[in-house]
Amino acid sequence: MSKFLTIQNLDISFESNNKNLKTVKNFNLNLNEKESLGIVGESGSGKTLSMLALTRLLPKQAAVSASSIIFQNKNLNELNNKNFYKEISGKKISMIFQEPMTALNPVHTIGKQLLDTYLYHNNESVDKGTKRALEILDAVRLPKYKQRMGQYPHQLSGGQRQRVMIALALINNPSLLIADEPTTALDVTVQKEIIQLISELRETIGMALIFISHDLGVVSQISDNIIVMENGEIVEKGKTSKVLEKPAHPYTQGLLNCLFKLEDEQKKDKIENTPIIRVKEISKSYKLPAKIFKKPEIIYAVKKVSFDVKIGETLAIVGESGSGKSTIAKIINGLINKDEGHIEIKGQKIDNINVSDRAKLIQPVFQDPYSTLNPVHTIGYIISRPLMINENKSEIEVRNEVVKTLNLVGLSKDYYNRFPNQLSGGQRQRVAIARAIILKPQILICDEPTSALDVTIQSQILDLLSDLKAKLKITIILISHDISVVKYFSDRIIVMYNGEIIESGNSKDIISVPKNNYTKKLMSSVFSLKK
Amino acid sequence: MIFKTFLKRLFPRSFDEQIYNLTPKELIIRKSSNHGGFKFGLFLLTVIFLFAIFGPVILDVSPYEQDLTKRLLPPVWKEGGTWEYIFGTDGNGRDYFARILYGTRISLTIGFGAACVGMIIGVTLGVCAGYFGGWVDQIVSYLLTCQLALPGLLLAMTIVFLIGPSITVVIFVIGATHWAFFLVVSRSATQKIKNLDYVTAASAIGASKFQIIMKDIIPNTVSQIIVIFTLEVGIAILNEASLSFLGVGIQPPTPSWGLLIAEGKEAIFFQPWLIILPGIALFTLVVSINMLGDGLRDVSDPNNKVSEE
Repeated sequence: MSKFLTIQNLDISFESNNKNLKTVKNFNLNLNEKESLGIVGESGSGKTLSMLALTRLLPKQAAVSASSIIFQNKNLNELNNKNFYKEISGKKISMIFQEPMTALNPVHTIGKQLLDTYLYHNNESVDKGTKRALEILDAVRLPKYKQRMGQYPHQLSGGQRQRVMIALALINNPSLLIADEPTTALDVTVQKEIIQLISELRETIGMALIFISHDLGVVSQISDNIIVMENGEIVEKGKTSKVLEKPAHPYTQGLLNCLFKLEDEQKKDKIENTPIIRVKEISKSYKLPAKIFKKPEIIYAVKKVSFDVKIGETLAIVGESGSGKSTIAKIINGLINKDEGHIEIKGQKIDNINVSDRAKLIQPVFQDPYSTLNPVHTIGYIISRPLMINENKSEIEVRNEVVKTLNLVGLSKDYYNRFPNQLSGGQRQRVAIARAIILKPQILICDEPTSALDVTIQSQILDLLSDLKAKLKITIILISHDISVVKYFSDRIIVMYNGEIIESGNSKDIISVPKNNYTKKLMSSVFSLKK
Repeated sequence: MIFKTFLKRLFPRSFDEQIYNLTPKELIIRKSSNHGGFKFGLFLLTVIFLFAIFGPVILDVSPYEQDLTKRLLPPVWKEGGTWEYIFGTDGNGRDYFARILYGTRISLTIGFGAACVGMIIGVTLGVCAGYFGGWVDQIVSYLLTCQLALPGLLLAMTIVFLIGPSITVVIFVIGATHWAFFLVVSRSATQKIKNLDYVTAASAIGASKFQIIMKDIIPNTVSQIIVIFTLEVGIAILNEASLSFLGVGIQPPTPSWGLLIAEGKEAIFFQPWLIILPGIALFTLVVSINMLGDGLRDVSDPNNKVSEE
């Protein structure tokens, strides 16, 4: 039997400033019909680029060369662009992208987008196209699919949009589906449904699947074979179970170790029983702008939430996006005002603490390493700024303090004069942590500190945080949607849903014996490695 | 190869393998020395500035001295031109080269002065509207609508007519009618920046609103404002020329380029250089400023890595 898809010696390079940047080197791939292949690697490892090269979606600056790309006995190298887009792309090979918010055109209805895709490749009537579109919307299990045809993308939720994306990709019955991190932008509970949907559709339609992800857990669930990439090269390939059981390459071993480490539990220190923060029945609501003949609608972001945080513990607040967990963090930090209730920090009401004292008590660490640092300032300035604002110190003292803090977060003093754009995501997050701890605060509020980072970096940052926690005796409030991070790191968990706390308790108890239905769903949505 | 190592020994810093070790200042110098448009614009503008400042001092020529026996002499490259009057003379027998030279001073003063006035008004309003939002934003937006609804040149003409023309008045009038671009750009940039994490982080470390605006928001809008600024310098210079052309800007006998063109229009078919020469001067100045502006944007933006290596 001839192979379904073979790619041999694929190289991709980018020309910039007379420098040749090779981003993918010697990429080989063999795919059988109906096979499911997972490509794993960190961001920048070239996993997406190599697939974009296959579908000819790379930017013009990219130079692609491959000794052969053979798809269903057809040499794709010989096909010109026009024929490729007409015959292969979207018809035989389809792709799903990561970001469902931007992948659909906001000015056209779902129905029109589906219909266009269908009619471009098939010489059929509109009626037949509509029928096919409805069929495929039903197949991706979009709720109320009959009414969706006339709706616009903004009327759908993230998960529903991703279903529409899948429908778009499948409407022409492709024989190969490439899914590029299709679930990364979605909530964990939705993530699981989408993964199940994709693997079920693959079996019913009988197509091959290439699944690109940074998440080994997800890939191990869905793929038969696996390719591990690092720095544009394939470092390991083989049967998923084999690779996961006996990883041969040190990079794969590292990746797996990080995962296993997260699955293990960390040693936990004893916690004193005195609360450092008391939150009592706080609420925060937003008014939607009033319309004529309609009362202004009020939406509660946080609804009568109360909890305590004890000195030295790590409290995790878990929930999906929109559950109000970030709002709570901002209220405690004094960044937005609450409507009702009160918060005490060390026995003092938060409204009575002045800005400078508050800054020395609580500091935040944010999610996005790219927007957390001001791009026009140097690292040295960014870290020294809290000192300059709040304390009267000489320039030399400030400088010494900054260098000390840099060392504390594992960066050398060479970073002092660099700009944020010269650092990687992990390094930026270290700088953000340095800025937060330089005032020696007692509480650190970490809002998804690792969710934008690669797995290996993720575990490094978590290690750094627990290290700092032990050294500086900080209380940490961790906000996350990632159960494995929470499990690894936290002493107690609060589960939030729609602005309310639905369950709270020891992290061990909640993870092993969740009581609430939603918590159960949340816990079961974690992908552990399948062996 | 040997040459390069030799250079490396001479200037260890600039040949450092890692550009990261440069201080911010060194980085900007390195970036700007690699940017062709920036260098060309800077060179041209420096030459024009030097001419404007030192030209009248060194060259002993007067833009006001009339010699009615030598009216409408052609420039030196034309038949009948002399080296005494390189650009010829105008209808009153004044040295045209001297008049253009002195006109450079006026154009530069008015261009940069008016753009500064406009920038101060526009950026202040724009940043306030973007950062505070709510009713501040509404008032500023209303002001903007009013400004856009008024015909700028007509308004400027009326005001200058009422107050009486002088260079200061012209600068403030042109500046006060040219802040809409500054406002729109700085407002939308501020709205975007104020929601970023580093602004939130700044308020968490106890920075005041004023500190946030000065240290976090304005520095991040600079690269966009510079472009608008250079654009506005060009527009202001042209605006001055139009005002002077219409007779409500700079008053004769002060030599402004716009005025020179206005005065030359009667002789457009017989002595075209009277219009072409100040026109070329105007063109060169505006082009050099725009090139410098584009270059400055690339150089000052730390996210722009293109010209770093």
